[in-house]
Amino acid sequence: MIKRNLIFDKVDIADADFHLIQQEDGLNIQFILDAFQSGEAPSAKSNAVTILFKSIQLDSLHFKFTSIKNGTDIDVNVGRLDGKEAEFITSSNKIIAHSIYLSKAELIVFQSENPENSANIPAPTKANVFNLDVDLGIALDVANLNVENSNFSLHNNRITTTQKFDPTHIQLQDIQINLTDILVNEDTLNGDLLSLSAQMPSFKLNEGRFALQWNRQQFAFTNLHLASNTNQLDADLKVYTLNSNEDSDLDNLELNVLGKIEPAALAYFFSDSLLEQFKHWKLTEVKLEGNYNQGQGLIKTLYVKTANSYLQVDGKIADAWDHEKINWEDIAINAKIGSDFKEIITPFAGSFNIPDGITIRALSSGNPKRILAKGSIDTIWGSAQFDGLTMLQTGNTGLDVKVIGEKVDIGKWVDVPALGPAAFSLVAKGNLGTDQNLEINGTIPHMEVLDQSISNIAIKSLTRKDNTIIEVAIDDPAYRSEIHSEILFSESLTIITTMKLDEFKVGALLDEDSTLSITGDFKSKLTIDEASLGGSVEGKSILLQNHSTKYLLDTMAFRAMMSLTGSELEYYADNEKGNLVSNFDIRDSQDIIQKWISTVLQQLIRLQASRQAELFILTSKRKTPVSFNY
Amino acid sequence: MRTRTIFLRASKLLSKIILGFLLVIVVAVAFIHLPPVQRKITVALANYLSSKTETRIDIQSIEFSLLGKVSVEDITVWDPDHTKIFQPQKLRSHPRYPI
Repeated sequence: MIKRNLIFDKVDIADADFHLIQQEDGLNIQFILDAFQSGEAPSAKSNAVTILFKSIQLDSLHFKFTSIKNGTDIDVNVGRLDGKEAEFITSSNKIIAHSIYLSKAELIVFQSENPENSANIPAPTKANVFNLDVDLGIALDVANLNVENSNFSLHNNRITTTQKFDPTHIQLQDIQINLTDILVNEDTLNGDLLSLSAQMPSFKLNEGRFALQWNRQQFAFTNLHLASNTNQLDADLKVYTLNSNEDSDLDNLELNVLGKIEPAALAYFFSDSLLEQFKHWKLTEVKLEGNYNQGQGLIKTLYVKTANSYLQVDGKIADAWDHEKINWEDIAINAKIGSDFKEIITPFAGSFNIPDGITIRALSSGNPKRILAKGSIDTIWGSAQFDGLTMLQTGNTGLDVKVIGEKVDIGKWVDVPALGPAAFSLVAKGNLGTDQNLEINGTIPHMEVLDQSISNIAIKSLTRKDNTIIEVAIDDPAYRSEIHSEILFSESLTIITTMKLDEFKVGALLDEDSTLSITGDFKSKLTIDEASLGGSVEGKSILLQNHSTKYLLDTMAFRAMMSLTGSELEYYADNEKGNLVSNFDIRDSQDIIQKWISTVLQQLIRLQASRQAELFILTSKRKTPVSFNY
Repeated sequence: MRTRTIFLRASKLLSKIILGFLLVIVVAVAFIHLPPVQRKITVALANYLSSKTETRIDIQSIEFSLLGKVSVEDITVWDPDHTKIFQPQKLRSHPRYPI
């Protein structure tokens, strides 16, 4: 093989314009290539030419590439380019350069919409990362590249400046790059970025560096360091395969990320709705360390710490890339939910209140269809332990969960001041969903209601598709009772309840005469629909007594119906009768109801067996004074 | 004596030949460096390239020396659709010998 060398000490090109056009049938310089194409068959001898440029200097260069074929326009303006020891080897179609200095350059890439292009984009697959195909048509080996005061922009379909990061409209200005050991060929992309800084529309990258090694066996992104003001991110990522087969899986991954981030400073990269969740966070520590080898993953640490909250997760995960097979083992979660995390979860809590400073410890194994979890939750409103299994099936969620609570201040969780701290032990088994059949059994050894302590409560409930049956038995000497409720789910919600009270200390509960108790059998029905609320309570063999008096009622009935067009309340007892009628929704006048109920209760409490009740009839109109008698 | 005379005559002839070659080279170098000659070469080269590529190529001027320095100004290359595809105002190269 004869080796021929062309050596140029210096090449200067100034004020040059290049315009390359890619037509459907090829490049517009094809005619030049064809003109100088040798008629002889190419041979190794004729190809072996090396052209060495000791120095290349380009000033004021404009290169334009227009692809009619795929709708791409590339504009390159070069203020100054200096190359040293640049070498072009024709046999290997390779450019080697010792150093390239680029200054005041601008690269603009414009991609016009072309449905055919988008149709041709292959769907990303897990093996894509190894299917590296840097199709430049030429290999590059550059020891040192310096770029100063340069700009880059990429636009799809139209040129615009976006307020938020948009991968179809990227603008980088004032780019400073120091990149070494650049190696590019058809299956390799290597480079050491020693420094990078750039200005995006609403974000400045002050410092960036990394080493990239990308070939068909591995993708390694090491010593990554990004800094923008107080935000810093350091990371190492290595994805590699032991199988040279292009279709090989992403079987091996090592990831190590450490960052200190202030979310508000990254507003450019997040949508306003997403940022709303995090923008109040101050400097936040993020740490992620793990690996994934041959289908088995290990999360050594996932750690997020804000000024008042933290989340730490570790454990094993397998088949992470297959949502059908993904499973995990001994995933340990430790979290403290302070105000930062609380703001995120509050919208999902529905009508539940969330206290500050919740500590959660949990351990979970399973897969998306079968989740085993146990752990504890400690809050200033009580503690709870849970242990159970959740099974997600089509249309159904299976539960087999045990929850034990201690000093759980239910009233604060559900914003019902009448309810106080409680201890409970509940077991839920069954299904929620299409084939609903959930049974809950449990005990409440202690509970405070209206500041009174009630103990020994047994609960049993069965929820089916159309109804829920709840049975409550209270074995507290002061509040002995049995309650059976059935809740019917139909167009309207109907609650039918029967109660057996045995010297139930109603006076103590209502903070009235503490010796007042009630004994009797009651039956109630409450119907709630969109337009009205109606109900009735009927009692028989009712004994009201306190320390000095006993009052026996054979029967008692109370009925109510309230709607937008009117309300009616009726009360019947052995010797009493009362009603209240209005042509407006009495629920809009809570003070009237309170006064009426208070009056009735006061009278009941002070009742005398010999007293003859008076009939009262009350008819009132909206916004008119209301009075009534008993 | 006769041998010496022949040797002297041969030496003189060889010297004249070498001198003649050198003179031709010097004249050629001087000739090539003459602007009218370089303009002729520029036109010839532009015509050759235009003919070879079957498109229009304009070259304003070429300056070169036998030492290899080449300076081209205002080259314009059009494609068959009459679009300017290459238009450097100044292009200088300095190849090193031996190539």
